[in-house]
Amino acid sequence: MSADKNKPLIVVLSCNWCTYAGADLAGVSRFQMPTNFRLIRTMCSARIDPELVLKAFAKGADGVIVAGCHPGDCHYISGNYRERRRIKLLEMMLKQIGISPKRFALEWISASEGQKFADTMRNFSAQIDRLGMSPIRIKLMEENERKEVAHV
Amino acid sequence: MSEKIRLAIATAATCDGCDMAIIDIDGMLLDLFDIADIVFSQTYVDTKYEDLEKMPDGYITASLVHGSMRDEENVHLAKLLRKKSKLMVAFGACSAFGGIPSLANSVKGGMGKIWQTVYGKDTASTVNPEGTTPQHKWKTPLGRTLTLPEAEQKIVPMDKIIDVDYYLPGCPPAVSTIKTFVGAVHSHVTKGTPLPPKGAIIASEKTLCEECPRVKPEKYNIKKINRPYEIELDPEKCFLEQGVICLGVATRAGCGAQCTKVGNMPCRGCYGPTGLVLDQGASMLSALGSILDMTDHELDMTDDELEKIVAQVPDPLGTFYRYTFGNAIINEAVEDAEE
Repeated sequence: MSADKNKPLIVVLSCNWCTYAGADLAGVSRFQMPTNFRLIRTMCSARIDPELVLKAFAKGADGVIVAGCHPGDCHYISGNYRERRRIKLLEMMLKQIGISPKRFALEWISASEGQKFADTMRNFSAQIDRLGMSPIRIKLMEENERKEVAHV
Repeated sequence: MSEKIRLAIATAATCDGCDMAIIDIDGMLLDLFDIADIVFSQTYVDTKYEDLEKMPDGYITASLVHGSMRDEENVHLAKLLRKKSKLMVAFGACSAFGGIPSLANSVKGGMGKIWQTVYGKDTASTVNPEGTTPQHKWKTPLGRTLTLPEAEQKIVPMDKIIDVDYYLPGCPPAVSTIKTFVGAVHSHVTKGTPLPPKGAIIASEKTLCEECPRVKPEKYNIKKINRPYEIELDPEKCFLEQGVICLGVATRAGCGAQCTKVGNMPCRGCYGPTGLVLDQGASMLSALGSILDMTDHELDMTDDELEKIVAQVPDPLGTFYRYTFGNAIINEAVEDAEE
């Protein structure tokens, strides 16, 4: 991920049917949003394997949001019920690893909630700003610097 | 017959269970020694590191290394063997994935904290009034310098340190797995059949459930998670149906489902992740998350209720990554800033 060196990076993993449409609406409605998030669309929030969240953190993301349809609204009936159990379990595991639970959130955003999408991004981005860079990203940057020095 | 192949069976940070497993192939040992000589091993023959250093590069046909890369001596041995051998084999879960010792990576504060727990005042059972700790270097009163290898900061699988040709997973590898490998080497030497491709894991490509004979229900819904000692385990029913966490769904097959079939005990995942996933722990977490206590009032479930459901898993990291934390996507604990 290439971006401004000191700006926090946020990965948004969203479902196709609600949150992606909600994000689209936020864009079309021209709501002000931070620009430091990258949205990845999947067919359902249940497709978002914990592996993907761990990989995002391991690659240096400072925050990860998983977003899907509200309970009862899942396009595949029960995908989001499964996902919310996984996310809770994953939160426990991230705590054991030492990543602050504030870097990670699960949100329900429907296709009509463009405003909610924009607000969520603004608040989450501000929260990550206060937390600073993720410890894994700091480690990665230090390693890269060492490699660059060794190369010179 | 032409010259025998040369074998090294080396130990890193290990419990030596893998050595026992090699002896367990009993009759096949005769086949093995028909074609092979052990030229280096700390357990079976009297060889020293000096002997190994004197060997020309590529002298050893295959080196089997078991145990994790806990200290610099283990790392040195792995690098030295790589230089001296044509084939490197990560033998057992420790060298293939980091093994149980790699759970030490999950301690926040790393080796410093572990040192403190073992030798410091943190634990009530430690009596160490003078605060004596092992030193890397020590000068004796007579002027000799003694050294001990220093511990690595984190345990990684052997293939992160050197190039590895084959993997034999398991804790220890099942006899059938070792026999498959020895058989492949034997027929390569005697009949010239090709060896498995480089990087092959000598096990199945499927999950353990494929091998496990237990009856699986159409749909799962775990109402309560039980520890194996809390209930009477049904020998026919799937463990997950009985509410016992079994890692079979996220574990590679190849062991013959010994634990679930013969031992009446759930799988703990020593054969590591299957070929299609990156991370065994995440894979198990995902599987368990989707069958954990689906209620009929999902629509208005509160956050507290949800928390109660998942809190039944007391130690997700230790349970899901029991043998593979060293190999995980995030394989060490970090310290995050508090807001």
